[in-house]
Amino acid sequence: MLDLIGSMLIFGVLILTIARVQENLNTTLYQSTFNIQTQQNAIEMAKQIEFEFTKIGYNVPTFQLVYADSNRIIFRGDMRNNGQIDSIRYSKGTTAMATFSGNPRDFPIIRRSKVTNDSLVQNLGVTQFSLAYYDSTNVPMTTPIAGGLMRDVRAINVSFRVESYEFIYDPVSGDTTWFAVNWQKRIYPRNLSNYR
Amino acid sequence: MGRSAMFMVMGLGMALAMIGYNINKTGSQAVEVQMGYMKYTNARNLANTAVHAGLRAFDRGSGLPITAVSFNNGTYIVSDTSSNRDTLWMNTRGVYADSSYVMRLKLLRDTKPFPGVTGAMGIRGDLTEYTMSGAKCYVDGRNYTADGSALIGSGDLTGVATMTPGDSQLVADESAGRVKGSPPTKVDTTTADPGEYIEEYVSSADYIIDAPGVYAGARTYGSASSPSIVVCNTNSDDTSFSIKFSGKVTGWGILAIQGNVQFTGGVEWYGLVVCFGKRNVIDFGLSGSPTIVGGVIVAGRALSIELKGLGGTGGAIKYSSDALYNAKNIGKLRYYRVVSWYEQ
Repeated sequence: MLDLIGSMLIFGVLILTIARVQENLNTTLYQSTFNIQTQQNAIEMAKQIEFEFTKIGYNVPTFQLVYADSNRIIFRGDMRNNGQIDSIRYSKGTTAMATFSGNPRDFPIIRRSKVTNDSLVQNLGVTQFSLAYYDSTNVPMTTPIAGGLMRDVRAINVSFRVESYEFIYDPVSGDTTWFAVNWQKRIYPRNLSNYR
Repeated sequence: MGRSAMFMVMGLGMALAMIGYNINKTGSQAVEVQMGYMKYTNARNLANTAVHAGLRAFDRGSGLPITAVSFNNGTYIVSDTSSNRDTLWMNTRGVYADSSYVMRLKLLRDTKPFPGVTGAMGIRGDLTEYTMSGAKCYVDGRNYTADGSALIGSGDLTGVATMTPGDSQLVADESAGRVKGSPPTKVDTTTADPGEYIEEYVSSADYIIDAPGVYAGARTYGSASSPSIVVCNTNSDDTSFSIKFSGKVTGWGILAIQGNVQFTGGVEWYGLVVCFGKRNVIDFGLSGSPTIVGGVIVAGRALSIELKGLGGTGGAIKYSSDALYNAKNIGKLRYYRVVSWYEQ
């Protein structure tokens, strides 16, 4: 009888310990998964921005920049080097559009292409997105850029923040953590100096 | 009971092992993601480096295309280059680990702004004194070949261009037939202000002579195929000569002079001569065949110009559009303008 009670007690303690270990391991697994997912989203966004912004004005002698504001830009260029001029628009969506994400602050980045005539709504967990424009002397320009000053733009500073879709709960401290990646780069589209 | 416990322990062990494996796997994936972006960025930077290396090799006339140069733990390649004198096509590739980045460029080789020469001698400033010493000393605005040996027959300019009618009359009165051109003298206020170009010449100079003294021996600056930029800057408006070349000075390109410089052994310059400062005296000296072929711009306030050529053949300033063209196209004064630039 005593043996039975003792073994049950030990078993109970063992089960509780194992359950606690399991919970910590799960938390670590979630952290790692959200971490890598956030980084992948940020890199995906960065490479896309760099790919297209460096081609602004390529094979386009006039109206290379159509609209330039702090959260929206429309530009033209031969993105695939195949002679087909595309007009690309980047803009911010609203937080209400990010329905599947548990992050209340994130919003999609909407990319629209005139050639394919469709809009790509990219839910990458972006919580901040801003554009700034500089002239040939690296002086910032006031946004939105007036039409007559569009040809003076020589550099575009892109900055965004990507956060995880879900928060990580720390059972010990009780804090919630959102993994985040901040990315900023000043891009100098080489073909902007050819504006005629 | 014991068997059940054993199965339960084995199951628990397998579950923990799976979780541990997934944790390690995500850690590795995170490193791979970061490394992947780093490799992409490094490859792009190497492709950019290749552009600069290619332009440098092109300027120096050597080493194109460039094959697989190792740099910063990666390699860069410049391939498929071609040019038609002023237009350059270039493809570059940067390779870092398993990432590569390609750039395709078309560049136009252009020249930096060059002062407009309005005659054999352009005077930009108020002329207070103008003298020509020596019966055989002359200024000729007719267009000569780059070596000054023959007339081209077209593209003639004025002999001496001044800013005001009074200055033009002063030159005409003193010249006594020793100024030739179409016309010999005229008022032309478009003569360039050399002050706008001096900083460029000083920063790009191949030779800077700024220490007062006598420079003995014959000196040659540049060549017909490789003109150079020479700056003589005494930083002084002293009326006495502070820089004196006692031997013959021969040069091609741009000669910028501030203050008083004396060429007692004679001078032969093919290109542009720019004089700036309060008092400028161009003294050709007494020997040889002192000659300037190209153009001269003299600028400053209250200018006093004295042309001295007392030797047997006198002294001459001859206008030459070809000599000025060679001076304008000195390598250091050229830059590349992007016509088209495609990345990846």
